[in-house]
Amino acid sequence: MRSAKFTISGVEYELISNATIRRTALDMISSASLTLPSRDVGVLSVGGPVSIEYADKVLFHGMILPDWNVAFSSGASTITIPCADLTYRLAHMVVGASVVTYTIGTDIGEIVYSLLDGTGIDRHYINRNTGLLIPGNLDVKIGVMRLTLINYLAAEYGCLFYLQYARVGATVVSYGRFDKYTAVVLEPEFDETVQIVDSSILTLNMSIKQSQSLYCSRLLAIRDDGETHEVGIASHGTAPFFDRVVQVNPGISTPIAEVAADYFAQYQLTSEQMTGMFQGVAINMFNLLDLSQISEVFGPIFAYSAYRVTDLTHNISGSSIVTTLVGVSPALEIWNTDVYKASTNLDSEMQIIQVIDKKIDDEKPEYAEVIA
Amino acid sequence: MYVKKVRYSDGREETIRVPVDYDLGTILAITHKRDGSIVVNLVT
Repeated sequence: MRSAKFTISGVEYELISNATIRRTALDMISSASLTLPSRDVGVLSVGGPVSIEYADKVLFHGMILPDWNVAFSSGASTITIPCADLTYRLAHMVVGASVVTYTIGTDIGEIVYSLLDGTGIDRHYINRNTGLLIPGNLDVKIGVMRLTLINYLAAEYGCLFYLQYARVGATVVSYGRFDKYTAVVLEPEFDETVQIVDSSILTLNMSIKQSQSLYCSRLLAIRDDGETHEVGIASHGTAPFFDRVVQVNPGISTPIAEVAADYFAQYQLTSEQMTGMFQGVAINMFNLLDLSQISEVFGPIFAYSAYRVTDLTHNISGSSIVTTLVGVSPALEIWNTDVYKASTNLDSEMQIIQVIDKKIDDEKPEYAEVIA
Repeated sequence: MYVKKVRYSDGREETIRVPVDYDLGTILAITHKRDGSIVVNLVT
């Protein structure tokens, strides 16, 4: 029987009432919340390490955040510990206490490598030679957080940054990954497939939606570096077209016609979104969910046999795990925030509201009067 | 721990154990968490 394994500050805990893990490709700070009987908890220190594993997969590795609450009820008291993964440190550490300048020609991988210094994130897999060089001096103002700069570089240059959790012997480690999307997509987690088979995994619900927010039948990609002005066009069908215009970063040197064709293909892929809720699935971000064995729905309804997970919430209670997830076409290039947002059909405001709503829905207070 | 009986706005009555000796007529906000425990907050 599969079971969950929880480690807090190096100590393994058996009795956890409830654990929730939330990961989304868009903001990249994963969070978790653990509820357990408070008498079983040793000394808790802010920043102490936390890891959650299920069926030999590390679903979460991070640190304890500074706000807990203790609840009293008949006889027992429980403590709820909120945690965030180590990206939280990057969001709370400045690039420098004075203006930092990265000189022209510096590889952006080298910049990211230096930003991860002192965060506890393992840097072995950061590509320091991406071949993407900054075209001019980059000045970073005082007070800019490291995560802001990393996200900026990732969006501007078509790269993806995320943490990958792994168990290494007796400890759990967060590996930082940063590289061009075309390289990152070759990593094992992008290939790892979890297959849903009618008999073994319970599908609680699943839906597929067509969304047209990035629909276009012609795309114009414009690249303007001040001296040269290039336009690439990709389309299908005949006039009249539904046009969409994209501004391309002058630092990307791919031929403009190719860039336009790429974007056009990506935008077509955003039209199909999959959401689902499953029990007994231990799946990680960017893994593929294979639906081809679910005989009733595969075929006429689903366009792809597998979907890539971009957004997930695990709810672990005892030995059962319920996962709610959003999946997109496996070919979708999720580093592109416009494409990603369109494929999940939620802009970031809505996603934040969705997270808050979920937290509120879980536990709503009711008013009562003391009568005896 | 004190044993208190409370009545919700929909008429339901429940007996809870709390660490504070609330007076009669006090309004409380009670949240039932998924693991069966409750969180009690004082409203008035």
